[in-house]
Amino acid sequence: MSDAGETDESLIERYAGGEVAAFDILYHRHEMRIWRYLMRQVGNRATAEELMQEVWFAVARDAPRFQPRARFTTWLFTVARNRMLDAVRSSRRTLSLEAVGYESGALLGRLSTEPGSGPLAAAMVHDEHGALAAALAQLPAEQRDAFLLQVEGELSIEEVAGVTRSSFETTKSRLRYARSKLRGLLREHA
Amino acid sequence: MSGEAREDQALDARYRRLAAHEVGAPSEATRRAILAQARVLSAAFDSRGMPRRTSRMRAGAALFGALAASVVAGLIVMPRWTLSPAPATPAQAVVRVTAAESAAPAAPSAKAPPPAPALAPVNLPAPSVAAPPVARLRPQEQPAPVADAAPQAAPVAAHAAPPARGGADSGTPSTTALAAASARIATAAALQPPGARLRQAAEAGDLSQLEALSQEHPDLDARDALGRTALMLATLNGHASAVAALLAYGADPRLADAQGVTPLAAARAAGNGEIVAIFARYGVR
Repeated sequence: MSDAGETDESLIERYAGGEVAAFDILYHRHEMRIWRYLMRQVGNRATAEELMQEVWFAVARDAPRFQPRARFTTWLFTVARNRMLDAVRSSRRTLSLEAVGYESGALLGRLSTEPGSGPLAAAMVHDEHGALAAALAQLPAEQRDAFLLQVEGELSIEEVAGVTRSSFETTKSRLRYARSKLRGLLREHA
Repeated sequence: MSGEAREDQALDARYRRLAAHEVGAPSEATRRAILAQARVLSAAFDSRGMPRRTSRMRAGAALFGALAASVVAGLIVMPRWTLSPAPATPAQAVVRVTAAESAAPAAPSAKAPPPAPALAPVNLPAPSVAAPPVARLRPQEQPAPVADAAPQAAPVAAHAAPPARGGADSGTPSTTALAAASARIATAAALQPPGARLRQAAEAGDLSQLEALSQEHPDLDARDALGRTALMLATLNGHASAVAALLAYGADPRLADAQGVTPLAAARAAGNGEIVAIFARYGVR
């Protein structure tokens, strides 16, 4: 089946109508973007694998409730982000809510500084890949989250603001600071 | 385009170029599990995208119906097997003969199924001298007095009621059929291995049966043809109490089915927070 030109929204609608092939197309279209988002946020392959299943199970289960007026990718990344935060809240990674606070930014921040399991290990600084990984890991959690949502999800500022439940101006600032800091860190490495 | 905007674009492009090299890809098992689950869920959507009853749910309903029927049949038949026949009163004698006569047309073709329920008060004979009319005519009493077989009714009873203890027949064709079905179900169930019975009980959420079977020390993690354990079947059917019971007996919650889906993943996929919480209590997250 060719999926060229068919929108995500049309595919999810077809899947909700019982066409399982439409889900396969959607999954393969977005698999790596969700995977990279989760991996960079949790930095742990086993957790990311589990979250990956949860995200796509939720998408499949809730497909009939998807509202066509919303963009599929916005919904998809909202699901992914919520699942990732739920995983942290349920102490899956031995984090204590009481210790890190309930605000999602604080949770993300704790993840980013967790030794050995941060978004990307600090040891990976030997090459360009490692430099980018290290730079991302050094970003404040809210900035990294906004940056990843925009580059992986290809979301607009408004959409990132909606997913993170932040204002447009706050989101815009986070993105600006994130890119500025990344450029600086990469320059330092070079 | 401003210089900063160009730098932003360059940064994003650099990120995308490097992105794929650092985090690998999800495992093939994860892919398979996701796509398999999507297929399972898709089968539950009808053409309007609304959830519909799955074949598993229909099978569960059928199983429940069969079990309920056997219980009802047991309640009807058991007292007649276990209670010794009381001496016939004149009134009973009259009605007994009446029932036998109403069944009489079936007697010549004794091996054929009885043609019609013998309960209808048609062609009642003339009242016997000893029988007060009210004893024969009250409808609620008509099906009851059939325990002691009259000679005319015996051929029908002999073919219709298999256990026929103490010479008692089963009375009516419908009761007889229920009794026969009940006996067949009971026999078939008894012949199944304990693991299969455990899975059936788990699928039906039958806690008393689970409790009884657990005393036989069955393999709690025995799987069906699709690799599903009793715990998985209880989860798939949303029987939280059965899930808790199986975990308490020692069922292994980590065992995935043939498609790589674990009970916890199935509970999450179904959005069953109660079962997810039960798993969490057992350290399964």
